[in-house]
Amino acid sequence: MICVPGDDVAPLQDGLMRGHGTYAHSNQLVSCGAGRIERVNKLASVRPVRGRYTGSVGDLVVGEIVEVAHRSWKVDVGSTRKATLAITSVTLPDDAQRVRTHEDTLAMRELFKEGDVVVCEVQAVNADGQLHLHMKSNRYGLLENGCVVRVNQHLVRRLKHHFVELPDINVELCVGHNGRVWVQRAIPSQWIEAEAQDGGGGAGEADALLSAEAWRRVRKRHSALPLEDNEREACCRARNAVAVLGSGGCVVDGDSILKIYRASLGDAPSKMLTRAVAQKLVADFLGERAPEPMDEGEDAMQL
Amino acid sequence: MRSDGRQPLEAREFDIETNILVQCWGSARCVVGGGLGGGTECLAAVTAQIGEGTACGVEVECSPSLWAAGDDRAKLALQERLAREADAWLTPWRAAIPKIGEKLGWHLVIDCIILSDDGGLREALSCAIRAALASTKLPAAEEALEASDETTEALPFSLLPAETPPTTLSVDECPVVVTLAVVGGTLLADTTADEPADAMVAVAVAAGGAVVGVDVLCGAVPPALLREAVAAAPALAAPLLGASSLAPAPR
Repeated sequence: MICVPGDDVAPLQDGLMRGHGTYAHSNQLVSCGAGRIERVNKLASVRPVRGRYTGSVGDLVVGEIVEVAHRSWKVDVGSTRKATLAITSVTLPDDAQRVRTHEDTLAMRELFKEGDVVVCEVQAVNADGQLHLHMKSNRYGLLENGCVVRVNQHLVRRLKHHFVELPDINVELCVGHNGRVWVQRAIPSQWIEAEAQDGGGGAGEADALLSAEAWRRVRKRHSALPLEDNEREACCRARNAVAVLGSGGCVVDGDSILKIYRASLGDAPSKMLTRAVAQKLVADFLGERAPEPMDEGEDAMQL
Repeated sequence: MRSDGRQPLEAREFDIETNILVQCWGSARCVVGGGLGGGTECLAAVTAQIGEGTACGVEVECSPSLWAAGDDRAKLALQERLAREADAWLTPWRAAIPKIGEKLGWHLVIDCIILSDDGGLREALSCAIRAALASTKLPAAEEALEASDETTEALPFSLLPAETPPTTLSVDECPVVVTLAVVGGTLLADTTADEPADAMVAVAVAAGGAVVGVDVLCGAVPPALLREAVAAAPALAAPLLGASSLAPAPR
């Protein structure tokens, strides 16, 4: 349920707790912001539609390293504060499982340096809103040879798989909860299979077919190989499709990106950046059509 | 092909609106790359008064909504830098400020505010300034006879009757600025935040495609690329010049 400031959220009953974005007035709980009403048992609150990424535990986020600090990296995920990625929360090269030594601390820039784009998961949220990130899944890590698109974080719902592959198009996306979407050429399955045969799989998660070190090797191979022209065009088109969805306030997931992608195939990708084309794509996607112009003369006669 | 599918010297769509502020003599709003929301937005407003000689000052302000500029100190530095640059852009145009008689003339102040920045900042700013000047309508005035009472300090001018057509400004000498960035050895026009530039050069182009100024904004630009940038600038500036010279829409 969407509400605007002044809308009634719920009647004030015994035991009803007032959450963020509401205030009591007469016998009603009234919203003081524009957003979604959320009811969790006895707690009623209003979650705003705009605002920085707040984060919750388990969210997959795409961020940019902005600082290499002592035993941790500071990552820009679009939150009010920079998120922290501790050195103990990343997998070391060669899948080493050991206590992080002083040498590891000095060699942090070899893992991630300023300007690198990384995908990780939110491990914990501080009381003041600062996020702590981790890369414990084998698929998390450094992202290269692709680009980031920013959309409103509210357009990203919790999906089953945040690593989305667009079939037949050879493009892979990583949809972050913080509204940052990473677009790259799809990693060929032959490379993954080759690594799986060589090194064997990783322990644990179902979608981590390879160990962290094997994923690193596959990614390095991907980033070392320049894109072909058709691959580049496909990535550009997918990137623009995400941007168009973001501009139209549409939910960003694999299906919607695919629809916009297919609808845009008539023009060059850069045409999707213009307002006219973007609005048409969004309108068609949402199923809205402009009313047909009425032939006024004849209809009036028949009345 | 760049990450959003544009060619290296392809600029994004832009939009200019004039006469948006009723309390100023002329105003304009320019949005670069606003097709998908966001983009770079600048507002420029012209206020005027009559004084001795002619003058034109530019003030630039960074709005609090300008995330891209960084913290307050960075914003202040950006404001001052852009004000100085805009001042330099207007140097060839200052001769065109209307005079009133021999001693008096119009003193213009152009106030600009940058609301958002997503690349193409100087394009948006220079277009907004040029369009604001093009849409400025100053009341027609003439120099009055010397007042017989010498104790008054009022300037000797009088406004002509309201039916007289207003004084408009010619913006032919006023340039628009296009920025080209050097990214990995190639020249790119209208770069956005996800195309980090090694060096940037700004080229000012006046009406008719005449290049009136070149400024290296940051980094070191190899001479061959600098020549290429100057050669490519008129074509990039042509649509901006055309749009900012259009007759203003009626209020």
